[in-house]
Amino acid sequence: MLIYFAAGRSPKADYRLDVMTFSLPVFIRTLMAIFGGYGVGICASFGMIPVSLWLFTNNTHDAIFIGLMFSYLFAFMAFIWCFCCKNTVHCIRDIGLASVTLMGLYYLFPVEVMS
Amino acid sequence: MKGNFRRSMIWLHTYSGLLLSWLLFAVFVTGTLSYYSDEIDVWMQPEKLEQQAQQQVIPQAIATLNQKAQGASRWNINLGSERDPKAEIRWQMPGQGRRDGQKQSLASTETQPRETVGGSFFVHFHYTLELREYGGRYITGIAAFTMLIGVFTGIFTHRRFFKDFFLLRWQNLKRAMIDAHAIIGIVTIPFCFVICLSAMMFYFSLYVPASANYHYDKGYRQLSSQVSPKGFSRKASGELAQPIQNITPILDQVKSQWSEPNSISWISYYHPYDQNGYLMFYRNKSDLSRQSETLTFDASSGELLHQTQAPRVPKLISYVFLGLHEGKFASDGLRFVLFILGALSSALIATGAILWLNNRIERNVSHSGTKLIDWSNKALLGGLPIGIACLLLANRLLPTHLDGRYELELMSFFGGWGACLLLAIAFKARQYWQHNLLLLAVLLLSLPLIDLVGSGQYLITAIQNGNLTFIGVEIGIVTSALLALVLRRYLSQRHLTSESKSVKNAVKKVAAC
Repeated sequence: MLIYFAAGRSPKADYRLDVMTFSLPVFIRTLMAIFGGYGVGICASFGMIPVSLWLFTNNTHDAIFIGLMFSYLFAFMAFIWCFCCKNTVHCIRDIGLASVTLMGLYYLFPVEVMS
Repeated sequence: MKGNFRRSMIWLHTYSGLLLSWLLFAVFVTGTLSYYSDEIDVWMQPEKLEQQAQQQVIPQAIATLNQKAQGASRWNINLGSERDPKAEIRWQMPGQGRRDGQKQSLASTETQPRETVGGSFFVHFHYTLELREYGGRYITGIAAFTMLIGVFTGIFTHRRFFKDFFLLRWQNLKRAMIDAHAIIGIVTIPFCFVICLSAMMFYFSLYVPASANYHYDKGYRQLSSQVSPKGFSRKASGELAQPIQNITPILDQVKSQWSEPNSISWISYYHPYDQNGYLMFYRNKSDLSRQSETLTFDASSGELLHQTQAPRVPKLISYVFLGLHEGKFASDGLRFVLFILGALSSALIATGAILWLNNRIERNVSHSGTKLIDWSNKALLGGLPIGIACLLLANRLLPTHLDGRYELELMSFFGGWGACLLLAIAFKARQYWQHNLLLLAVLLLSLPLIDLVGSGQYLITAIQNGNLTFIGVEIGIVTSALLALVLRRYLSQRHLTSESKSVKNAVKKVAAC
């Protein structure tokens, strides 16, 4: 029910800055951007490890380090995406999909760290 | 959300900028000053002007340490950087941490330099906000991320990118501010991007620790040691030995490796009273990478034990970004350009926050939110320069050998800023900025005056010695004061919106009703 309500688009399509009314979709998007964006970033720091091992390096430690750098990029993209996708349900869906895909990559191709 | 991509980006630009603009302003202003932290350090300890350049600092330091630091577990000699040479010894007794050792300056004259927060205050404030133990670095990390969002979304606010870039309408204050915001925004895109991205790369360990904690027992620290080139360390053997007496042969070896003058910035002597003692020399860096370059020598035999290796590519990327952030590689000209870019970015953030409010004022929107932001703009944007001016003034006015000078200087910084919080309640915006800028100019102009006629007459000494660093800081202070006066004059001449326009708007509104 809540998600259905959140998906409804504001009847006022015009752009008015001074209307300071509380809007649930915008609130959900903001929450998703902050926490979901960070979550995608963390997932990317795991999921990009196998990708880095395929593309950039043979060293597991280096791959984990590259994963950290990629996490910022993914968090940034997720943050922006939360505010520019079509409607709020899509935003929740996409953040979820991205996280699941990245963590899935990590669990499909696990890395062993020899320290 | 708001119709299309561009509109949602504008919305995001507006509100992400608004939420953190004051914090970002504080971080950017102090960060910009950090480019010249070494120079400000020289300015804040004018007693050093009378000291002559010392020959043979290192042998003298070793001799002094031999007398004063008996039984210590580590000796350090701090020689400062190229721009701010120092001669300072530090030592740690067994069991003491890195931060709570003893230190002493090796001054050639009787006068010890005054105790001061120094130029490094700006460096530390700009990333910890003096809240190191209370999550200050998290706050600045969030601010850096928000600035990245602001820079990215800001690009989409331009409908006509090039036309906006070549447009500047001075006559009306509001238009002037919009155009200035747009132009500065375009000019500083690369600068802000690199600065904010590299700022977040300093603290992987704090911002995204999950992956490192999952893979390593000791977390990020262990990961970092795995990806960096191996450093050198050796435990004490337990056999007693005398510390090194004659360091000259080792210094000759260092000179043969690093040929430039003043190549050493720091020397650490581990286990001076042990058979396994060794000396580590740190180089004065002049390239992009932030990696510290070291040479390690055995204390008893004087042979070279270890030399820093080049890092692998991933760590090198991170080192280069960090080096770009700190700007230690920059020569005088480039440093000045970076300083100007930093100052422009601060102006960008300030104009952004003021523009938001002006848009609301123009449309006669007034509620508690706009009032709060009006107050924050006045108090936080106007207060910080006053705080800095108060800090510099306290450095000159407080007695030189006062106890707790360090804390008093800090208090004057926050006190000056805090006073502006109150003044901002008392005055309306237009009046406030007139008073604020005048006060700032007076405070700043009094600094060179004190140096000229005060008891120390440091400015005269600096001119006699030809100390360009000191004179340069004074010129910077006078220039900032003059800029404040120019801005004040400009603000007093221009109106936010012409009166006839507001009357027209009022008539329109009445007609609409």
